[in-house]
Amino acid sequence: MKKKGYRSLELDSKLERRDFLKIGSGSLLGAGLLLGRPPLFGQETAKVEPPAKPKTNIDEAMAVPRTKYSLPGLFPGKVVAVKDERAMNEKEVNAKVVASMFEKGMRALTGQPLEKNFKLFFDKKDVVGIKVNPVGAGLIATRLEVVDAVIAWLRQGGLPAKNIIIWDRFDYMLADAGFTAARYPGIGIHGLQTMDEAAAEGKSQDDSRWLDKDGRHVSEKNFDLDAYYFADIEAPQDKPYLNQHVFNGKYSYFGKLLTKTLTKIINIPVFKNTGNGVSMATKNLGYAAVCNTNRLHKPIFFDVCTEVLAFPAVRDKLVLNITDGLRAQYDGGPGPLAQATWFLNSLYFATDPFALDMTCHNLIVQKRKEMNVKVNEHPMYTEYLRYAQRLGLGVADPARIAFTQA
Amino acid sequence: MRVSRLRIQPFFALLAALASALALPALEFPADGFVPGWKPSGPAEVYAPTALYNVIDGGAELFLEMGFVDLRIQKYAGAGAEIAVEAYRMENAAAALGIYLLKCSRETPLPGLNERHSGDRFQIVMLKNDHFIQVNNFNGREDLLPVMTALAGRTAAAIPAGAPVTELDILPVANRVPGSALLLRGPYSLQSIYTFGAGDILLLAGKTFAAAAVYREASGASFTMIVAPYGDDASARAAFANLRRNLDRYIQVVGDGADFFIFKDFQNQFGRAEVSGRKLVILVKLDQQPDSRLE
Repeated sequence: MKKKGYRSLELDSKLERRDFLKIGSGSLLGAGLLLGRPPLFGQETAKVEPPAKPKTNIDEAMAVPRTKYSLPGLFPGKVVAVKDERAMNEKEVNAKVVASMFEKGMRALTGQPLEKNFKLFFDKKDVVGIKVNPVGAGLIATRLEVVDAVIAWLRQGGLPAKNIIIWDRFDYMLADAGFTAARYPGIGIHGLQTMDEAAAEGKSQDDSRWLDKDGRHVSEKNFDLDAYYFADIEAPQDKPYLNQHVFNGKYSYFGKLLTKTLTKIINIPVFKNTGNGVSMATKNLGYAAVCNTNRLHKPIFFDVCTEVLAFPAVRDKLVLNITDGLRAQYDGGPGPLAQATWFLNSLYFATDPFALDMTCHNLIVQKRKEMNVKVNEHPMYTEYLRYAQRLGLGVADPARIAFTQA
Repeated sequence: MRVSRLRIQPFFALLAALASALALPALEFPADGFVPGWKPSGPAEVYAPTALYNVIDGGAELFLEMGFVDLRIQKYAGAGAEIAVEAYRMENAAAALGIYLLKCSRETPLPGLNERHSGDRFQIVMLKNDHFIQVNNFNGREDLLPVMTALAGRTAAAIPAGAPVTELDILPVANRVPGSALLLRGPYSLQSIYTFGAGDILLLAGKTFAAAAVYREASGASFTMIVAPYGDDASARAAFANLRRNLDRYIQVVGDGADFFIFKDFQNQFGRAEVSGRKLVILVKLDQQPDSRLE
């Protein structure tokens, strides 16, 4: 498929099947069969307990001592929203307005002006990874203008351009969404892996673009075999799966970018749903920091969003989350569905991704009701957030979340 | 001898189904010039059920549960843009209607199309007999809407009309909220409206169509009704028992009898399930605790 440059407001014609649905992103369907943990009712009648959750190595993550920056970060349970209707419309994104929203949000989150709050999170030696969400390029992918505002802040704080890396799981998606070296000179652009789309879709029998001569995925070297999320769940053994997921055992390895290179992470997901849940801050990392994820969807879908974030490669480096709600999507996610998008023209700020996702979950449920979309508010769609609270990774209880509009 | 036959039968059934599918004429997509300047972009792609995950990873389960046969995709190029027509052939017209209703939150018809549909400048979804059709304009350009409409109309015209779907008739008509009816055929479709517990808790098994709709009474109170008709009384009883036995921990039974139970859910709303003959009738999202018996 021919790659084209970014067009900010126009849904590019190359936005095709893969953009819609094969991202390895959350499946509303996979999500649906997972059961939550704590009973809301003390008195229960006789019933069959749900199947035991597959074993994972979450205990190994929890055994690692925490640092100053460990989740939930500097401002547990604090979420700030900034809304400005001038930020975006069908024709354009107003970069100046977006930059102003960023400044306002950061000030409200930290209580300090932009020129000072850099030091809260970083020093000049940090290597900062900006995790974007390129799915749905041109429609609901992370807006370049938001990333621009973040980079400007980092640069003004004294961080060299070479110490900033925009990253995602798939290299070609970054390019599709406009995150290119040409657009961001001096800034690193890094996809944890590549994938041959034609081979994955069975349109090509030529595997040479993703398999080396030893039969290994060419992106294997990008993953750290010493840092992994284990889940006792088998992966499919077919080539399309391997092509898309690099490994197909019971281990999901963290990208070396996270374990070896980055010292801090800024997470910029998009405000969108995945079935009855959300695909925002925690899923943007939970299903991108590691490989071999599709096997996890059905059995432990949302729990991955908590447990992967519990590992030091994310837990101790993720210092800031900004959910891009300039153009948001209330239905049909995580792939793009144009008719379910709207100009929310909001940015949401938090160090605590779990408080942020709980807040945005409630907002998107409200929107779905307004739009007459079928809503299933079963607690299982937010149970992973309460799980994170029990692990001390964040705040999920709405009564304890300080949500303010700046 | 009998055992051998039983083992062999599924194989032949599979072969027969495959042969039947192959024997069906391929859907004829509109050819060059259906609108001046537009023509097919490459050959049509065909996806069998096993390949559906590669096309709609994250959404395939719903189609498979509802009864998916194959998907044909034809892309068209013209006016500097691309439009794709996706034709999902389902087991029957009810299965196609089931997908359509689940995919279509609020119908917004366009002028010039005769079949049931909903659309805008990004996408048209349409129903014709056993086909669920999507016309995707990834570009979103408003001026391409007539092209989309022409593609949808011509694609639908190539599909023969079918008999009316009757699976929704099991629902009461009085007080039903227009546009709220759905068909359910397993856990994936059920979860769009409610979660009782894990797995195929209503034992629909991708075979039995249950119907569901929202009802609003004169008082303003509303609730959702699910009616599942099984093949016989015993199957209905088995489904009722399975539901009762496997309710998840967020649902508390507050009253029961041999053929019914009443429950309270995580939002302090009430529900009632009752088996009657070969039907299982469930009411959920009731504001008030219902009487012990269905009226």
